[in-house]
Amino acid sequence: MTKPSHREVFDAGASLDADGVLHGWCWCNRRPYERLVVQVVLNDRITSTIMASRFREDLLGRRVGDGYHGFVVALTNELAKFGGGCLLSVLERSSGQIFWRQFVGEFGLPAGLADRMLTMTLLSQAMSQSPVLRRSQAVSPLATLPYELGQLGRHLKRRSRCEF
Amino acid sequence: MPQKNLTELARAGESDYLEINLTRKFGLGDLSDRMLLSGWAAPEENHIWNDGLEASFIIRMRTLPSMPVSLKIEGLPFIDKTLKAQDITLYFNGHRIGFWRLDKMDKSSLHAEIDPEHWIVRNGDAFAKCVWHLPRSMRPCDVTGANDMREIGFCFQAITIAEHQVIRL
Repeated sequence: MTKPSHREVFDAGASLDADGVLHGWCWCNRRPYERLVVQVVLNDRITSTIMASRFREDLLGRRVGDGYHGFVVALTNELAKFGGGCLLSVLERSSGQIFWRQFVGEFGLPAGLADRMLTMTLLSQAMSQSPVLRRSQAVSPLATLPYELGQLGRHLKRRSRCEF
Repeated sequence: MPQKNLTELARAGESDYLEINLTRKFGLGDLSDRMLLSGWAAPEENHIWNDGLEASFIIRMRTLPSMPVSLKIEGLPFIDKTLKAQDITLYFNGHRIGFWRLDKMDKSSLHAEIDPEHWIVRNGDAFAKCVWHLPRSMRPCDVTGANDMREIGFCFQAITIAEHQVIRL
């Protein structure tokens, strides 16, 4: 296996479809015809290791090597085990570089977000009253920021399943 | 495709090594025709069909697995209105390790357990000859009228040799 050099640039990406199937590609400009190995990590556990060698017409069209750099992994069963949500990451094995990451499952807001939003609202209110921002006759876009933040905070509070 | 034998492949170093838990693709771009012995159609993008009633390939590992492992093959059976199911039997170094009857033309995963005793060791490498017996392989030109003279039964897409969790009671 070729050791990765520091100047290597990975052209890689992935997307997870509604059926829990991960589609992606991984290619390195310094090793254009090498099939790279990608690992799929759910939370901290490697669930799949696959060689990115699947042919994709779009990759060939974009001159990503010879086009044989795609991969497909069915994660339907694995994702079903994490009903409450999990962090899905995809990395290139030889470099350990994570090139795609997504939280899958239930949506939740981090604890304390509402408090931080309130603090931001108060701070931005204070900022909008500052002489620097009030100097211009035209309405500064920042002047409406406290209102927008307040609205967003209230919206998130309604939507969130977390208790603050 | 020209037939090869296991000794030729082992000497020439022609076959790729498989790794535990690493999924490899059949077809162009990855395994291509490297580990194939006989009974195969020409490799295509991302898959290869058997051609005939028996198809064989070799598996080569750098070290002999000390524990049972599972062989997983992903692919698609050839099914038609007149051909209701495909029967597939797998012989691993002569041991019959799996039989499957596939009656839907959907993506299928074939799993079989391989014990350490089933492998052959040559020059430190672990070898296995896998023979796939597909007695219901048919020519699409006879079934669907398509201009395809190959005698196909199963479309091989990916292979994984994975660590097998054995629960001993």
